[in-house]
Amino acid sequence: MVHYKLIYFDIRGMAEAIRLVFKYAKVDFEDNRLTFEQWPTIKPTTPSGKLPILEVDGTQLIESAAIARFIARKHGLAGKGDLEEAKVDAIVDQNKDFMAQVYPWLLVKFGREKGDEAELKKTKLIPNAEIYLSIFQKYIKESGSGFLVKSGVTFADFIISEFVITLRQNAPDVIDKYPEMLQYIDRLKALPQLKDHYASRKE
Amino acid sequence: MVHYKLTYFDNRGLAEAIRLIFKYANVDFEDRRITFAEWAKIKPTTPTGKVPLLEFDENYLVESAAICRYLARKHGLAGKDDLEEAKVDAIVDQNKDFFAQALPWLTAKFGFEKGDEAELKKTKLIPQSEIYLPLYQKYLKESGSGFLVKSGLTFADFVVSEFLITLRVEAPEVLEKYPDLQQYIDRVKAVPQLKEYYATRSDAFNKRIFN
Repeated sequence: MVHYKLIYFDIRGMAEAIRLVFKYAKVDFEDNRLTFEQWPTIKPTTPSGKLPILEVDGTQLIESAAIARFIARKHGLAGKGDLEEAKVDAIVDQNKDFMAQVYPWLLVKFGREKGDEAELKKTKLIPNAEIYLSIFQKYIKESGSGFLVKSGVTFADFIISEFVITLRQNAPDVIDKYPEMLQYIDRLKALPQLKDHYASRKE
Repeated sequence: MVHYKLTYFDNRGLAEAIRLIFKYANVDFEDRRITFAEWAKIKPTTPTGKVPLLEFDENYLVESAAICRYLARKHGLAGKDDLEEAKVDAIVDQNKDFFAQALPWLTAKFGFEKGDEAELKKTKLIPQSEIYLPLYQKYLKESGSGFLVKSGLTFADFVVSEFLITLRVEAPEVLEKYPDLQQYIDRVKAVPQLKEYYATRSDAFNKRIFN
């Protein structure tokens, strides 16, 4: 049996979608959570100086979306058929663009960078939330499955929902304007395979 | 036979890797190239307001990497097994991050966004190139194939080499420090299925799209 070891910090961040794929598929994995203090010593030993890393019987994979797709494909969570797989990939890349646009605000809100939080919220978060959450709501509406694509849950749902959960924690006034997204998150949290994980994890 | 229509600006940009897959695989496609003026009219009629856009039969795909991967998988250009596919995907995502960091400099240089080109080059392009270019060198060294992964040419090579070509054109001094990456570009351009295509297309940025 393959041994999987996921290395990341003890936060949801860029690894939670991967954890959700494993949990949903009921695949065991070692959930190695580093402290921030450990990271400077470990960083130079990593392939690209970044986390998450997934070790697959010792082979190291990097980049959260690539890792999520790798595991998802083995467990029917990457989309049904080549067209739907491409749609899933497109949604994940659109979310990556959304994150890149919003990060300048988020990093200031987290206190990790200096900046005018209110100004960045207005210029970065609000317009991009309008663009991207509208697109995601449209996909959910069109799919008919309650999730982003027609066949049901995919790793795109885990990636998108985790980011929206983070945005909601930090700007509920903005995100609460998208009730269909909130219902969508609740729908994911109610999935029988994941209910317990969501209920007991640290958000 | 599927009729593919690719819509993008008349530049290499985010579509060229897609065009290279079609050319490599010898698959016909309609290469629809638009100007900014045409885009203003077409944009509201497109599924997501973005290009590149690939249309075929009743379907459409957006997002350059997703389109590349979809086509590449059909033509042996996505990596030879699941682990290698994940490696290819990771390299493409890393390049996306590099590109996103460099974009403010590039759009200021091309003149379609405001910005201090020299300042952005110094604060964004150069530090980011010092992170990513050594990574590409490492991948090439480790693969042993002359391309980014062990089994040989993949769509990651098209994505990465196209961006390296842009750097070579727009900031040649950056790439001068990496002769093995220069050789890598030439190696991709010498791939037999693509030699003629590369020889006849321009690497330079086409400003006529502003018309």
